[in-house]
Amino acid sequence: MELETTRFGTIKVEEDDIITFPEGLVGLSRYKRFVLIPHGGDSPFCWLQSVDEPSFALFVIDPWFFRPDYEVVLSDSEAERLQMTEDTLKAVFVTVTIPPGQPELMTANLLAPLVLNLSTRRGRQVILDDERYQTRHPILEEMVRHASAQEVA
Amino acid sequence: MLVLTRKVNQSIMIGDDIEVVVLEVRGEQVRLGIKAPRNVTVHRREIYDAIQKENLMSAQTQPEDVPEAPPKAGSVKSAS
Repeated sequence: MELETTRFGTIKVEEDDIITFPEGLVGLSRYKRFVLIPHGGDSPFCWLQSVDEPSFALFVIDPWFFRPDYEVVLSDSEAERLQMTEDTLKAVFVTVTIPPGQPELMTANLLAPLVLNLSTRRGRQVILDDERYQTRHPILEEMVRHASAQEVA
Repeated sequence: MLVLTRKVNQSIMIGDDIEVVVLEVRGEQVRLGIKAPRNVTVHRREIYDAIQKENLMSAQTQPEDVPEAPPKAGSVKSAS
């Protein structure tokens, strides 16, 4: 199918590419279906483009790209809702915010990751019960540090 | 808004299966216990609001503001 988007023009997506968030996002229950679009090149960023609203796309990143020690502990009821066991193929993204024109002030929301069950292609924004994480975590420095560590290795 | 007065250990029912119990009142702080089915999520309002705001802000990020791949150690060194 063809999907109209504000940022990326008309893109081709397969039905199988669609990830459904049955309950939507926290505070935004109207957006339920998304496709993942890589930002491009070597970039670690992706966009979660809404299938239903051309102008709505979350800017996201794999949190382990800059925080190798990041932990997502799902409660039993969250795991149940995502139909997840330890063996389930999963992916985790966190939303990233760049204030207009100020990429150096980029932050990530480590408190509420988007957890995807890749077998069922269902996702859910989970609110972690973990005091280490906050909604506006600055990430640029950690990204540079992590990239440097990888370079050295 | 419905306003009810409750004492410690008294509760209210919301529908048939959600119960909110007043556990303790100490000065300005009230401790509440919430019994709800597993499919009902319960969060502090300010956390819910903060996450909603971040979702909206993330969706306002402009592709042209996205930095290229982050600078690597090598490139930083060669520049110095």
